[in-house]
Amino acid sequence: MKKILLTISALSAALFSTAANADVGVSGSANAVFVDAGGNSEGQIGGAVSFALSTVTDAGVSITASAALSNDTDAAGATSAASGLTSLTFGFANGSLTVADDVANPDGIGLVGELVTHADTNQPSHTNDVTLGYDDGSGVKATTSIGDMTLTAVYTYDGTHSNDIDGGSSTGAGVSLSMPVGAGSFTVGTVRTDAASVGNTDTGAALTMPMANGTVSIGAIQVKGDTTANEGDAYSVAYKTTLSGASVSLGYTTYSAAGNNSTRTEAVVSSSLGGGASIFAEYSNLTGAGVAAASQTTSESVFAIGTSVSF
Amino acid sequence: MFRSFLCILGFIYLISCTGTYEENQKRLKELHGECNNPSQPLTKTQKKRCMAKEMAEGESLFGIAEGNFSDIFGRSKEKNVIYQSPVNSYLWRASLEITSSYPLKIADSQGGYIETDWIIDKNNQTQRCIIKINIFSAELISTAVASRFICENKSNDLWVSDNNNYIEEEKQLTLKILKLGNDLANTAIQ
Repeated sequence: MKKILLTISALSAALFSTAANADVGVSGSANAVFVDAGGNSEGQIGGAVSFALSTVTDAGVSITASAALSNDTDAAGATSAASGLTSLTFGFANGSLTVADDVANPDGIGLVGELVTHADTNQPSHTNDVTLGYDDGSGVKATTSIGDMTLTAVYTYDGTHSNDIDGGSSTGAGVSLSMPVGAGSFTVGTVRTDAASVGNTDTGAALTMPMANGTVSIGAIQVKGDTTANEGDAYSVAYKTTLSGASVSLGYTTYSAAGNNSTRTEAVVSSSLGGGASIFAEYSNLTGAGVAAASQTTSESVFAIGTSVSF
Repeated sequence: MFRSFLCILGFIYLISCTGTYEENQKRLKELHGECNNPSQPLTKTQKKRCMAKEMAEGESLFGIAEGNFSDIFGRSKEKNVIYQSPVNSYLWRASLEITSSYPLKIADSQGGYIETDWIIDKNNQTQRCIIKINIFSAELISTAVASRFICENKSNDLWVSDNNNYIEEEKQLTLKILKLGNDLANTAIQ
């Protein structure tokens, strides 16, 4: 990551009576991936240049912001956008406070077996995926520690990312708590969203433990609310390890909602090439009664192989 | 509204106090990875970028296959070993150049020691001398060189020390070595 250090001492001395030292970090990533869904093949080439801006006040409070120029990394074709500069994070002695246009709800905590980022392309619709209506929006996030536990609270006041504080049609509030359990950690959380008067609640828990030269995660999630198709339970397990320097992750998730059952089996293998580059392969299989029938352009089994570079 | 206010106040109190936040974050990142830290939920876009960076970390594939790849491509993966001589190379070259007219008995580049063989003037074969030069440092400094003259006189077919000090000659020789060494260094820089 290349750093550009800006010293504004002369100007700041006149205006603020103290020298301000800002730090601008530039990083980026790019990937080229081949994705095949039952013969329907496509290439996904994308990436992003990210800017991390930070400074520290005299009181020791850190303030960070970020921006990005990106082209979608898991879609075919060019979908470029300039994003970011829509969040400020204030770092304190025992926590942080973020005000942003893209605050993520702490939902889906129990879905530890959902691993892929490219091999879910061109899969049939998953109608009983036990999720909320939306995952993020304009809002506020606060994180702090209480002893060994970490508490995160999120409030999103506009799920459409328009920063409409009093008039957002989609709102949400959630909290999660992580605590150490032996050598691992246990996380529990709940989120309530209200999207155009359709309310749903997600409650989940996950336990992650080191085991057999890797880590094992088991999780469970329950969604209840007005969207009956997504109202149900999901149980998930994942195992991550390293084999001869390659990172191997396996995940399995079962979904039960609206009387339908479906399963998702996923695997990811990746290996670093040095210099910030890596190669990876992903596999995802989604099958069951809560999955739409495959078509000419969709397939229950999707395979992806590609390379990713971080700058 | 009042409950929300109390929650906000409570959070501000907690995040402002000194605590174990940094340690907890470090532990969670080590266990879950940067991209799956449950206390820092990411949007899908943020997670994609994070995963790209995380996949690039870790031991390199070529680092693991070092032995096999180097056998195939005949390229050594060993790191270059840089050896630095304990003797300044310019002073060494200057010493050799100055003593080039005389036979050398010892020329130890590692120890920085030059000793000529007995030097006898054909016009005065009752006196002989040797020159000893010591280089003490890898740096081109004035105290890095010391020279010594030892002379003997022939008396009744025996060579005996003349018991003279040649301080001025030794100083001149040392200065000459230093000057020539400096000239060689300047020439190399240009």
